[in-house]
Amino acid sequence: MTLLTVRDLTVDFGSGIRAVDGLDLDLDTGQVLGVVGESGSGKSVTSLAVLGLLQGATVSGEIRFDGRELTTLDQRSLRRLRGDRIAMVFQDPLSCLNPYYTVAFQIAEAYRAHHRAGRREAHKVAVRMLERVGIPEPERRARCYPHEFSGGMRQRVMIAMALCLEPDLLIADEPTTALDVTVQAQILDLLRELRREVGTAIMLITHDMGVVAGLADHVVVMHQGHAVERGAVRDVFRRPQQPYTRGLLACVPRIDGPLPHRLPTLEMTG
Amino acid sequence: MTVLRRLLAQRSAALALAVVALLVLTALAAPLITWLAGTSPTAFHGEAVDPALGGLPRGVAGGISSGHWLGVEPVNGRDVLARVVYGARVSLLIAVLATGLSVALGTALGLLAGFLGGWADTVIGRLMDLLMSFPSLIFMIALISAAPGADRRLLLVVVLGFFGWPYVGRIVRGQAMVLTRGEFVAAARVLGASRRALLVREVLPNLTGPVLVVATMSIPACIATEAGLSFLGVGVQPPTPSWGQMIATAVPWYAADPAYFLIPGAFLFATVLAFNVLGDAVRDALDPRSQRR
Amino acid sequence: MILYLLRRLAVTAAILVVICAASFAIFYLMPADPAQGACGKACSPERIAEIRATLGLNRPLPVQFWDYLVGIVSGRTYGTGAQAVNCPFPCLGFSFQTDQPVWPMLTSRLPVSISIALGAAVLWLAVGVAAGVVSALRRGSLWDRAAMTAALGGVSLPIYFTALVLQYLLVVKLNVLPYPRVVPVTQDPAGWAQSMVMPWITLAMLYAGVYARITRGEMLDSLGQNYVRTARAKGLPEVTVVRRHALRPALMPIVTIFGMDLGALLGGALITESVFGLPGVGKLAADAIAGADQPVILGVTLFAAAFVVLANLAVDLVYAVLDPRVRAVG
Repeated sequence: MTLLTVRDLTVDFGSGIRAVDGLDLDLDTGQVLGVVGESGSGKSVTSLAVLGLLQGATVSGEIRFDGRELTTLDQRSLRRLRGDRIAMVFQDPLSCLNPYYTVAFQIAEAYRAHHRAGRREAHKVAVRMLERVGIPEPERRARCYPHEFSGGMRQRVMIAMALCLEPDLLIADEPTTALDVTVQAQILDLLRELRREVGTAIMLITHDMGVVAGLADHVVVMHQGHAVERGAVRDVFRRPQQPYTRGLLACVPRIDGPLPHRLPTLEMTG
Repeated sequence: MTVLRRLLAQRSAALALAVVALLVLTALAAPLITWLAGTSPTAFHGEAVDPALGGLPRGVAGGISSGHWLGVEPVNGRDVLARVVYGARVSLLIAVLATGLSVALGTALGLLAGFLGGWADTVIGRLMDLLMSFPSLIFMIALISAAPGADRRLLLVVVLGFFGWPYVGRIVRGQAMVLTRGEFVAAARVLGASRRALLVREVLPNLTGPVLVVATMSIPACIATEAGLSFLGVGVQPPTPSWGQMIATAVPWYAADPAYFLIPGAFLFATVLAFNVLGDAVRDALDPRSQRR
Repeated sequence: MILYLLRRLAVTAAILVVICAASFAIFYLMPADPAQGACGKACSPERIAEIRATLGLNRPLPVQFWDYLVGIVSGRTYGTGAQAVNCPFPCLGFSFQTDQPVWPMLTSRLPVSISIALGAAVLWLAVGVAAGVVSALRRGSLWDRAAMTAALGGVSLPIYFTALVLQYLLVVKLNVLPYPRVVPVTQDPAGWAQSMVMPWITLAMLYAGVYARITRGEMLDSLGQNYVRTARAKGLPEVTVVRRHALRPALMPIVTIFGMDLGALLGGALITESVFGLPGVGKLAADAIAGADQPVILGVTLFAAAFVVLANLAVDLVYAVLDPRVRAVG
């Protein structure tokens, strides 16, 4: 069943800067869609456009979520969707968590924004979520502040925050980029596991083909605001049609392949 | 020069600069202006006030007439225009000299703290914190009233300069710390530059911008504080005129002769405002990042 | 946290002693003769010598300073025999001009000063922060530009000038307010507020402008933070996003600046009181200056300094409570 349909999405930031240009996306319930591209290709802007969080930009085209058109939706209804049915995990968990509140408070806050729940009940939900995303001693750690956590733990908190309402769609914008390599693998494992348990569809935004290969069912390759290639992950990886995609794939170091003399660089072709 | 161009591009800044320039000109040309108006700041004009009304100026709005363009003082009938333009002289001179002293002290101590680090930094830093949170006005009053014989103008410069230096020092210290760890200073050091050459050629030129901003902001603060002290009777002593002192003598007359406090007050307000606008504009021009604010 | 508290207390005590020494030095090393000041203008040489002995001015300076410190902690007696003057704890000196110890003179004036300062602080924080927040939320709007222009004007207004303009307009011309006078808040709250309105507005005008400008800048900074975007993505109502996630961090630097401004506030209160003729601590200082009553000036100076230092300590503690990161370091 189709969950999210994006048609001819165009985002302009005044003075002729077009971040996204006529983009189409399709995402089915419970599926994982990888959106890949280098920085500046418009993938983050696309995710913010879906949530209606772009400021100072003109958005045109269609964004249909579960049968509702989001681009024309009023702010109140949009707010109700955010967090509850569409949640988001951002790239840099330290700057995305408010340093003045405990992690449990920030998770509970998301829960209480959509549920009639007292502080204590929401706190319990937060502790349960912390446990679920693999934070040791969740009861004690719940009362900690973000600066007392490591990078990987902070990203787990972000994921707990996003998944506490069991949303239909999780948008993960470079969820592993700011993390150490071993921690990256842990976070990807966590996302994979949660997807299986909760059944949340994921829109996974990354520049890293390796991340897509590990998690996504389908992939869209973006370049300068356009989708240059799309398809099932297996097909795109086996038979990339575009030179740009081949370039991206060549950037992923392979363990089993021959060692290249130099890492390949991307050719800038339109 | 690009800074000046950026400055003048803002209409409010250009206007403020014009006001400041006019003021400086007025202060410099005070004798010329009083000569043109045919008055003097110290001459008494008994004929311009009405003894029957307790010495209230004759005529409208504090005795404004062709002979006295901004009226006269109650009781002794001294010309307000003459006292205002001579007052500008006193206020500006004190403010500029005090700011100069603040900048000299602040730069020296700030550099010392930023360069040496360690205990020198701790001591100077603590001192700056203390001085900045201090009830400085009360201390200034105490200091000035404890030295009755001294020249008040000189004393004001010293006291204002002394309480003003931490604002410069704080900025210089921060910049010096950043700069001494900066790559271009490291590069100069690698190339074999001596400490002194480093200071003169690399660090000081980079300090002029931020110091200029604090100095521009310091002048209106000094003018306002000097006027406040003169208002309280511990500033400039008569017969030397000052705006704050004029307003203080106008207090008993505020209901009967409002022009007497409104005129020096308006000059004071316009001056401080112009300097404040200019200070904002200089900061924006030097630091384009802050313009988004 | 306790260690941090103890360290801060020790530093505060040290600062207070240094301030005592500095103020003391100012008064006793400067050319002005404290005995002459205590005695007034017309004074015989014998009387001056007598006062010198009573005040202990013929003794070495460090001894005098020590006596002064002891007096603050445990009270002291000036002179001996029939002319002995008792100055009970905490003895901040004795005013021979008014024949009273300085401390009760100060404390009896305190309610007026507190009324003025507290009311003004509440007013300027409310107006300044609110104006700054709205300006930041509608950056570039007509409101923003008008508020920031007004703020710059307010910053540039000398207190005594504002005071005179207000008094002329509201009391003399429009007759909507009575002349400011002392009305105890416990007896007649409405009358108290009415008589305090002008001093409040006068003082608040200056600082509201300062705080509006600071708040706007801080709000613009915090509104651009990633965690504000996170808060929106959670689906929090915009009011909650602004209040909880943008305003709270923006208030932190404002608390610091407020602490630093308390010293300046005293100076402002001094001028406000002397314009409106209200008998507060500031008026006491102004009168003492006019009459060259040095023990009183010294007492007020020390009192003010102690107040500011202690208030800064309080602000630091508030900061430690508000900001979890500072708490962790302490």
